[in-house]
Amino acid sequence: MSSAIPHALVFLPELVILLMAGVVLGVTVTGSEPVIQYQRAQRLALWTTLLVLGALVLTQLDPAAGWEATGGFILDPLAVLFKGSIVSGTLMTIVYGGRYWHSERPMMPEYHLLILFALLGMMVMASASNTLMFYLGLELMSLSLYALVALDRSNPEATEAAMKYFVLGAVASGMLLYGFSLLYGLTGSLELDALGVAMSQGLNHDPAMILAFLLVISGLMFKLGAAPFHMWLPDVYHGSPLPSMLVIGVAPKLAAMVFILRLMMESGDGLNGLFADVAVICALLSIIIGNLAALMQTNLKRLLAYSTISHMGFIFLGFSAADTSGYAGATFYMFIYLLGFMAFAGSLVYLSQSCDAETQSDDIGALSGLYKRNPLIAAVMAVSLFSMAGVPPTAGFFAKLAVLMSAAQAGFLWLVVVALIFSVVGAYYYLRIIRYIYFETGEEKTALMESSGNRVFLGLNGLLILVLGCMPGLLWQFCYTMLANNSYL
Amino acid sequence: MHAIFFYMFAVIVVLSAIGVITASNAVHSVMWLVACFIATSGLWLLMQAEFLAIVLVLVYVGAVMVLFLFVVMMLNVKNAPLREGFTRYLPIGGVIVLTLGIEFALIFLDGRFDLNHYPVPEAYPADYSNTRELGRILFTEYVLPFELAAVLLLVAIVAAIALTLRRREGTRHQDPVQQVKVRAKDRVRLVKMPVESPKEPLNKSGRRRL
Repeated sequence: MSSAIPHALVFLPELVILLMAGVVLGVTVTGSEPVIQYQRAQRLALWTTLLVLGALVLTQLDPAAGWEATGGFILDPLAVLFKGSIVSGTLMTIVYGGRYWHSERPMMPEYHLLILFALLGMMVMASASNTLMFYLGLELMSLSLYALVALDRSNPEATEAAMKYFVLGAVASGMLLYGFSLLYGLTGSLELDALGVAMSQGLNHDPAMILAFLLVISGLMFKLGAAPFHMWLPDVYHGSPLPSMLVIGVAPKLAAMVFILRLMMESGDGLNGLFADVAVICALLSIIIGNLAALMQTNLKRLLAYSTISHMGFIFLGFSAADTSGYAGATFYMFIYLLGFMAFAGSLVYLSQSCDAETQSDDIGALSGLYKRNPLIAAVMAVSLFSMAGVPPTAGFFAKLAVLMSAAQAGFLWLVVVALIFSVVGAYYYLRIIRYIYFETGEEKTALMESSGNRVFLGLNGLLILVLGCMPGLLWQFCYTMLANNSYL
Repeated sequence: MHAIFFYMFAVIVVLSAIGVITASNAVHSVMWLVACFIATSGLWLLMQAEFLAIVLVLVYVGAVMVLFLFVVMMLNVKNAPLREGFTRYLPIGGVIVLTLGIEFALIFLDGRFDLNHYPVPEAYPADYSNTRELGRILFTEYVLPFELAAVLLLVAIVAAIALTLRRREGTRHQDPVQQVKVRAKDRVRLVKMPVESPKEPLNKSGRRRL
């Protein structure tokens, strides 16, 4: 380690978040009306994400500046790629979820403050080049997320979900930390670079090294919600308020995924065989459990949780290839999943703002006849569901194609066949929701509230899924070049 | 001498840690945890980390554990429901613990972490200041993690307040903005009134004036 403090420009995005979080904190403690505080906090949080995106572009003026890992911080193409997507996901979360809290639900100004802190944690995770920084970022993110889930105190289910999330999250953090401590004991360094060196010196066949990696990867799989560690996901999604579900849905998974990618790339050829085995088992379990369990759900949040588990399976399918195209496929899949999840969950938030109580429930029946009541939202939901199911004109098809292709090229043909069979099973429950939206006729209901500005953004989100479905090459190529350019490969 | 103290403290740490999870009374658990922390600080003293050892006792035993005790005593935790389902989950939990235990034992008992794999640390000179070195390294090499940890604590405060502060309707609270903005003439209002004649002994509220 040459100098502990990297060039200030390198962590400009983080500085912007921290500064703005301070401003939002100031807003939440001054002024007496919670409604006004809330609206100010929301506006500031929105501007923060836009500023951070700008700052991220600024850091790329001298792209090679952040490549040297200093003080546990690195800004290589991998970090830039994921940071961009994390900030975009958070931006969508604030736009879609911000209007959920209104006069009937408690308006907590802290909601946006906690989102900003979680964002800071995720940004640090994406840039962490040593285990200490990663762990601190992870805890910063997790603590904010636990609080976000518990924020709706009037709802006992939310408290229960937060408690489960907290306890299981602590266990996962413990596993991760134990793995990190073993890695430190074996290599004598916190840096990830040192791992690669240790690998080349023959530590890769050391059982203790393998155990350490397994512990770390288990902790990360928990954060992703991949199969053997998926138990918390349905309960937490079910219990948490909708906008908090938007927050924990995608961006934290992106942040955890960066570290998996870093570990896999850093360990070089040493442990990739092991990683591929773990990824195969995890992909198989996730795809089977996620899709089968989702079939039986009538609660939309639980259904979304199980569908998340199955999507994580597909991402691990990409990891199993353990080469650049596999990693790029998994990244591409994650981005497409981000769009699909946000469009669907954002629509759910939009519907929950409507006045009648029935549409506010999370039951699948609440969607019946939505087509007649709000054609635009119905169309957005349909597009996102088709994308998650992997139906051709949407981007989801190419995402599945990318991971399946790379897994097939890596020789896991049987796994591809199983994944295909279960994605057909999965298509059933996605299409069932579409059936409710378009072909079921609910009893007489009034048209939905039209005043929200979210419709435009939701419409654009749906359109983006279709456009990416027509020309997936752009994003795919971008993911591939960014990953191939990365210093570790 | 060193080894004797090390093993003494180590045994206390392990035994009291077992005590924490097996004690049936929550207060006893907390006391075991206190013993565990004190023995750990002893271990740190042996490693010449005096500052950390003192901080551990001051902060954890002195502040955190006392709070713990307060909370435990106020909550009146019943033990019976905690043990519920113990036998039901024992088979699967036992299998996992046994597998992990054997795995860990196989890996760690083959002498991999024996002392002869690691160089003997040099003894520090007499004027060596543990606190100064810690401060130096915290604000140079580890300044980023240090600041992050500070943000982490801030998040904990914000989350704790957000989750426990209740905004009741009709509570009277001070508005700092209004307090700062206040001017002298808002406080005291001088009213010019005509001198009242003594023939009218009653004022508006009907009370007799003195």
